[in-house]
Amino acid sequence: MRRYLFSRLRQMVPVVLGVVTVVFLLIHLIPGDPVEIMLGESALAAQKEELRRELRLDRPLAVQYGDFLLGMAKGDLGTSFRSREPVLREILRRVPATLLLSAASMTVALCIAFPLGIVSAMRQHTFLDHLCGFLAMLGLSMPNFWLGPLLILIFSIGLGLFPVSGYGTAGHLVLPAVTMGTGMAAILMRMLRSQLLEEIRQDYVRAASARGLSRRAAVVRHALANSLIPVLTVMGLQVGALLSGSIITETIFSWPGVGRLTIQAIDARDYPLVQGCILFIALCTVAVNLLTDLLYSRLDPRIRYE
Amino acid sequence: MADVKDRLASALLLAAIAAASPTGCSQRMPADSGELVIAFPGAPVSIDPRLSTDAYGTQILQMTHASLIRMDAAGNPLPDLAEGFEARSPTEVVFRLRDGVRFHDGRELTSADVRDTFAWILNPRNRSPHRSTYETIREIETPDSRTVVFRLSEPFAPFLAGMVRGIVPAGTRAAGYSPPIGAGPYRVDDYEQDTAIRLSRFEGYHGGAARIEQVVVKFLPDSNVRFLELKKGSVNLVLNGVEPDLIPAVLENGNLVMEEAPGSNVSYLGFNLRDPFLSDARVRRAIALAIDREAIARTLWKGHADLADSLLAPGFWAHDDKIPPLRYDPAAARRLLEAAGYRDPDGDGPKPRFRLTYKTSQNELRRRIAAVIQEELRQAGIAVEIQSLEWGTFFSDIRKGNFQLYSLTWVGIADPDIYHYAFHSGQTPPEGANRGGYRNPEVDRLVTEGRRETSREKRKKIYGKVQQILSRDLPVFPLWINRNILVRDRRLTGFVITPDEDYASVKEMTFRKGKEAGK
Amino acid sequence: MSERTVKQTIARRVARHRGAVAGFAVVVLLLLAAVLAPLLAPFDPGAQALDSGLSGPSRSHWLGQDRLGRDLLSRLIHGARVSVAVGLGTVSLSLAIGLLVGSAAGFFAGKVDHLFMRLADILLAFPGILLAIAITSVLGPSLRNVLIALSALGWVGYARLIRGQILKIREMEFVQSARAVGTPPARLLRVHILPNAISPVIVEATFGIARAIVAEAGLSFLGLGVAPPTPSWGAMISEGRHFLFVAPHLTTVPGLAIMITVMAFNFLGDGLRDAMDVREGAH
Repeated sequence: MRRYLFSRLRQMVPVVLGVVTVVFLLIHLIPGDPVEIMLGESALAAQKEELRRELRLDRPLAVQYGDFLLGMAKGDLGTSFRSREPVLREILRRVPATLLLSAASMTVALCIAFPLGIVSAMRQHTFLDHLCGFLAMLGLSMPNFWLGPLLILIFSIGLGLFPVSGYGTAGHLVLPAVTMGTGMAAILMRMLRSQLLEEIRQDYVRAASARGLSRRAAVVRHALANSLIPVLTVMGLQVGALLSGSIITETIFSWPGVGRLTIQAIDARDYPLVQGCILFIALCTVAVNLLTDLLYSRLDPRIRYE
Repeated sequence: MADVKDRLASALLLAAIAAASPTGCSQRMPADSGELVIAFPGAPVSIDPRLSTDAYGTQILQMTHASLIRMDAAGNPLPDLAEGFEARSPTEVVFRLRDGVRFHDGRELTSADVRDTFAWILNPRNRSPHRSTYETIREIETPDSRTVVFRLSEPFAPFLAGMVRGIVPAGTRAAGYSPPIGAGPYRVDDYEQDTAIRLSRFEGYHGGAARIEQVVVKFLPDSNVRFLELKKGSVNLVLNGVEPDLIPAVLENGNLVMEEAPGSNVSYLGFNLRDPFLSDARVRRAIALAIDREAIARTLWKGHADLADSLLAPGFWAHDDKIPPLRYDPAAARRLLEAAGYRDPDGDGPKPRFRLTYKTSQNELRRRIAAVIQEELRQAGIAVEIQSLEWGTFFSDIRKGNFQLYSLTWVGIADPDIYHYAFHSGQTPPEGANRGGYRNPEVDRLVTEGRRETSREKRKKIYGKVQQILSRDLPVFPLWINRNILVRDRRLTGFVITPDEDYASVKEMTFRKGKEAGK
Repeated sequence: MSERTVKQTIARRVARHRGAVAGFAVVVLLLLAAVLAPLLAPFDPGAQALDSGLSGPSRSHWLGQDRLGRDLLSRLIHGARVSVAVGLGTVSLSLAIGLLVGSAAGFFAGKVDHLFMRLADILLAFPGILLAIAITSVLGPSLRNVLIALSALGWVGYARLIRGQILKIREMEFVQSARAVGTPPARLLRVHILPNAISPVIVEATFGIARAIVAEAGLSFLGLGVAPPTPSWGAMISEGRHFLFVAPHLTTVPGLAIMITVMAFNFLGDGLRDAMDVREGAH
């Protein structure tokens, strides 16, 4: 087990390197000049040249790439063009907000997906099942930039329960988390339902029922555990989407997360910051996927029974 | 840059006179306990006066930092930290600081702080984007704690305009997002990047403490959220942040009122004159005639926009009032296109005379306008493909001259010298902003002469001619100027809408008492 | 059972599934609307009437008009083309790549699997927005490039899912015994493994259609979707969102269209899944 973990950790290195390299190439190759964006309309050509030299943007791409890798190896992600802060500090400042929102959204998603998924599977083809299916569709087909303002209108303006936007208290967290969580809940719920249905039909659940275990107990005790693998896969996939896909929700609710920082960095062609943000997202995603893989072997009874 | 010498001297003399007039409240007014909550449609990049270039950063600094002088709406200097100044020669300017000015932390503001602020900007290691503005400063001398002497390497007209930079205490390091302290009417209590900034009244402000104790600026990029915050009353002042279509709905609740005043930012349609179709002035005029600007201003802007006929706003001193108006005339547009040799192959049918691409940023409003222009040009027989590009890509393409048609807005034009930058044949990319590649020896001559001329009357004539020529040649087609729209709580008074969206008047604002509010 | 009878059985089972029939009917209607859009739409979807912008439903404009006064019903019908193309196109493209790579990785395991997993990790860790910006700024904004942008990362999910399923199934008894009797690998994969692995993939794919349609709306929100004036449901919601509180029909109408489409594909997928399920048929 420990050896497996070690080898997996070692495998993370080329993955992260791969992401960083692709990002480096993409951000440098798309049009747009950070110097022009920084200095604005009226800057003189000579001044732009000077800044380009200072930022070392005049050197060959390969040299810049080498510098970047070297810095990264030393734990130095460089300095943001835009804010002049160390990129690391800039990202760390955003990490709490990002993790908070991601965790809250995931919690919302799970809190919706599990009860609805289980009810839906156990009462297949009933009104309840259809209702849950309808809710899932609703969650899935509403874009966040539409759902967000709607939630604000109902819960903030109408009922006065939460602040409209901002960051700081627990109240601020609810609406963005629900906005982000619903779409994910729909995906998880459908996946859970279909997996549960498959497991319920398996012999061991029938056998458990035959042994006198209640159907619900059988489902919860056995079928659920076996259904978790594909659900977990999807969840792992969603975490990556959560981190980088939160741009729209963060924009609507003025949430100071990494997603918005990334898009602002891309807008400003702030190369070190873009690379730093994406490195952070990559590390998180890789870590979550590693965790998912490790959980596979824990959760799959077939592997355990061998 | 010898051509600006005389202009500098006369400007400084004028300024010295204007500086003699007193400002600031001499007697203390009773404080307002209410909280002013402003919403900005975006977040500032930097709120260090030595680094900030973005509009939102500038607007916050107008509340938190004091500068040697300020400019009024007409471009005349007003005293701020400097109680007066004089130009001893075109290359030597002396500022006298007010007595007893203090920073937010209680330290006294002295000439050393002023010197240090500018020295920091000029130090290449600090990479300030403002360095070019001050490059002519050769030396800053501080004979005593209240006197600052600037010696210039050469006379430089925009020098005075550059003195609106906020002053920070000597020795302040650039600390990214933690804003440096200043000597403005409000101090920064808390800055949550991308979310909000909280300000509180600085009791020791040299112009007399502000009336409202707490000011919060929320950064709300989503227009629906700004609308909802206003509705809820959790935001009570928004300048240019409510879409024209939403104004009636926002005013429904009765607590909010709307005010508007002329703006100064001119939107225009840019042509690439190197393009075989667009090099023909008749084609450009035909395009202009085919666009129904009145309809767009009436519908998309709900009347909150004035049609433009030049890059200068009609209220601006150098604006030429006798430019022949260009009215929507689709029949004339079609005739011009025929005359230029572009026949419509199938009349009203789907085949176009020719095809053009129109580049725009990804902004929803700009996309909407692009769709209207596209449809109107289709009716004239010109097929337009819209390319809506991510901002960095779009701006890079425009700056390189890589486009056929595009639309943008000129922001912050303070001097007609913009015509040199935007239309002189030597200012094609990458040097200047003549992105369409316009070449006209007459215009070249006039805009060069305009820089040399010191008399405002004569300059007005010169730039009048330039505007006339450009309205004939149409290297760009000026579209409209959006009006500045303020939505505020009806009890909040004292905010002055300036064409350039200045927030300095926040310190004069006050909450009227409930009883008076009815009227 | 011969292949033909299997197909007939599946068809018969789908026909018995009421939800699937309804879903199928909606999908057929949708495809018809997409194909016949120019005949069905009462107006030219690009024709503007600025002064009647944001009008609600009326006798001549059944669903009202958008900000530029364009007929919402006509745009909805024409938008079906784009949105169906985005949904089906993205999913087919992603699924094709995902099936190929995922089954190769799961089946051959070892080095192939290893390589795939690292590649998948890289792509999963990669922010889609940067890719979308890169694609639209290099290739230009168009329907084709929206498809490319959405599929470029979209296939990884399917591939991982298929791989996971195959890894699970290949250890099952019936596969092991088939292998023991010397079934060639290709046949093993095609006949024994894939059909049993496919059911969560179908569920995922029917959802993928929905996600692609909504993702296109997200790209439109960021200004990276199909270029105006092309009507897509995503772009319509995105354009209408500024008027959420003064002209809610602008967002509700395309929103409902997306929802009905999503439901239809989903019911159809459910029906297909149930029908293809060999085990259910056995009892």
